[in-house]
Amino acid sequence: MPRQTQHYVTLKGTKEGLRLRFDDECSYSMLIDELKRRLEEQKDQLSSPSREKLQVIVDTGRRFLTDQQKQEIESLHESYHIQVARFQSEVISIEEAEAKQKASKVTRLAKVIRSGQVQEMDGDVLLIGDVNPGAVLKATGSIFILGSLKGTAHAGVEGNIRAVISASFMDPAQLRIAHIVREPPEEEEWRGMFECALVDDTGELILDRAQNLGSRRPELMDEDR
Amino acid sequence: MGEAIVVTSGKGGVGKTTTTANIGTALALNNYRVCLIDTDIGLRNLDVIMGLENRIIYDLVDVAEGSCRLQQALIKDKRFESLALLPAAQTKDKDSVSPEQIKELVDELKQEYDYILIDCPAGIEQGYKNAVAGADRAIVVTTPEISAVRDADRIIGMLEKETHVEPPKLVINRIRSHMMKDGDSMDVDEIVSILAIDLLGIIIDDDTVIKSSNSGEPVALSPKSKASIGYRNIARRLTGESVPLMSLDDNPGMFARVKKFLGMRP
Ligand SMILES: Nc1ncnc2c1ncn2[C@@H]1O[C@H](COP(=O)(O)OP(=O)(O)O)[C@@H](O)[C@H]1O
Ligand SMILES: [Mg+2]
Repeated sequence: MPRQTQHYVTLKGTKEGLRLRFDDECSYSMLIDELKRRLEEQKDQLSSPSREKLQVIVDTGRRFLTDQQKQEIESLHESYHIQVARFQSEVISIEEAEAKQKASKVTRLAKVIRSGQVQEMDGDVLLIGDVNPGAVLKATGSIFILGSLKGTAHAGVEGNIRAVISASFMDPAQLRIAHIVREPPEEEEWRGMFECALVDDTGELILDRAQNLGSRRPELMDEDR
Repeated sequence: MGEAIVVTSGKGGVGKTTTTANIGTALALNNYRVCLIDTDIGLRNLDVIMGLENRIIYDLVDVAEGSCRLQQALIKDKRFESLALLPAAQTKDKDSVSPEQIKELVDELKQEYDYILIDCPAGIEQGYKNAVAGADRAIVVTTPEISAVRDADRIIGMLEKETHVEPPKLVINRIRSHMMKDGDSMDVDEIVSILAIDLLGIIIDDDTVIKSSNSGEPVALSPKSKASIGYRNIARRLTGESVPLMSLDDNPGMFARVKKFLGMRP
């Protein structure tokens, strides 16, 4: 067996499981070559005793992998009956960075959204004003309204079920969080001051006092967690 | 140089034409030079309410197409030397004039009149665009009904996009105080809080409005009716006077509310 001089791929057991650390300075083809060699060499140790696939985390350091390269690495592991649980990296593309920044941004609006108008926003929204009957406010994140919500609010439009809707005065025509829709019940009084709407553990869209938001959604806070 | 004010609502039948005729008449009573324009092509009736139907020779479309001069189409009012009407065409369709043509015509009228009141058709299409094109200010008329308020809100949203028009002012028409008192219709506070624009005035529901419209004598001419006082007050507020909102009846509760309004918007 030839002696391994360069270690482009290092294997390490961690709390989370097996971690493959890739060197981030060698060329991609050298990396792949070594990965193949190492998988082949250690296939006996790497095969799991049970029938389950072995899970690994691939840490690419400061190397940026394209989706195609990730696929290649995944299928390489696949052929040794190993599953890549996830890729971890210290770098992301500008596109991803922008999307991340957008999603974590709070956009402030000061206006009345009127009947027939549909306002769509990325990230969280702070509306200083009202959503009138017949108007719609949508956000990929959460919606906070300093004013009355009398129309429709849809938070987490791309599927974020942890998103919330909060308003100084809550008297909505309809509430939506991710794919969950609620109309005001016929009988019950469903309006109030400083309320918030969120999806609880049972998957139901419920209303609660906005004061409870901090404990139900601690991630909303920037500090003081 | 005069000012052009469009009277609009979104919903039909809430009182745009009645409001245009009466505010115009009330302004003329105060010696302002006023020209009314009916832009409701195909459904003209401002001329009927003003009692001027029989004098029509040319109309708005004739002027826009250049078939006659503006001066030839203007009808002088029977009662006031300083009041004139430019009637809508009855037989043509809404697309026979463009917003640019109306704007040009309004700009010409502004040289000669203090106020140009533009009566807008119902809806949010071509007719609305025509009516708003030349306006500097806007009056939104609603009644205390949910559907009318909803449409008023829609129109306010559209007017907010017209950068040449000042923020619109609200007229609430056909108020029945007993219904408001009993909670059977939306009340003034509720309407103003939803629409979130300044209240220019309120007009009660009054049979004399219908009677006088039928006889071609706008109610603003009769000094006694409450509706007439309402229109006259609106006209004075339009010219910059501050006039207290009238009480709807002798109920102190309502009066207190009215006072609260004045506190909010002096
Ligand atoms: N304050 C009022 N009291 C009673 N009837 C009214 C009042 N305002 C309007 N009306 C009536 O309502 C109807 C519709 O009014 P109109 O001015 O033609 O509405 P629009 O121009 O908005 O379609 C008319 O018959 C008119 O006489
Ligand atoms: Mg009309």
